[in-house]
Amino acid sequence: MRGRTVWFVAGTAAGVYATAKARRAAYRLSMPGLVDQAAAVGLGWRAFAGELRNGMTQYEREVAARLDAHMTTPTESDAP
Amino acid sequence: MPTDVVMLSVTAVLAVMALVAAIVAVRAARRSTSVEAREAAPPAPAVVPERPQQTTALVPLDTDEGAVRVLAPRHVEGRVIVPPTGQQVVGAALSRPHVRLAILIHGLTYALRPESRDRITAMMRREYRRRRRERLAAGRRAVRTARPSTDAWMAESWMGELPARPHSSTRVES
Repeated sequence: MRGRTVWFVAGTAAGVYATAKARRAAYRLSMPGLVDQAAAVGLGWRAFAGELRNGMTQYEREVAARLDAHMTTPTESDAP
Repeated sequence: MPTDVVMLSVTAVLAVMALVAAIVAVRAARRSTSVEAREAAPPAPAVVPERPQQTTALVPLDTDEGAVRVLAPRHVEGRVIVPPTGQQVVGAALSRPHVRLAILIHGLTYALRPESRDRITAMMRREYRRRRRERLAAGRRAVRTARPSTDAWMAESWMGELPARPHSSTRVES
């Protein structure tokens, strides 16, 4: 009796899990799901572009500061 | 000789003449501007470049680091050489192709570092789930508005009931 109960519960859980997964996969492959995925990809692309811009700006400032420091430091050729 | 060949020859001659005239005009303009600059400038002592390879070296006039650096123009071999300002040097250095490439690579590594990557993927997942939830809720709402209320449906029929009046238009088949 106990074994049957265990198998019943396991089968029910597996059925519920598989049903939810199948429903989500079907939604993903449907047209509204594809539209939602495209919107999410667009959002991710915008966030990635923002991060890329931040990184480039930060490095540009670093390089500019390094160049500025190099130019303000007197070198041997500038010395009289 | 055909007419088109004659026209082509005349056009070529005219083009060569226009090119020569443009070169002469540019050289005259350059000469006149250099003469004007020489006349307008105070009689500066002749600067003989001791080390010709350093004619473009930056020459700071003041040693104050907080002030804007002003670089003196020089007369080198009859030409006025104006050294670039610090901003111009920095701008030129930053616009070089390999510097731009290094900046782009640094930006890519910055954007692909693990915390940023995880944040972006989590944002995408949340956006997809939010849109899906909203869409499903809108679909349920539409179904609810299209269907009559539960009480009216229960008052008319129930599951398993045989249709008493087959021509009833308000009954909802389950």
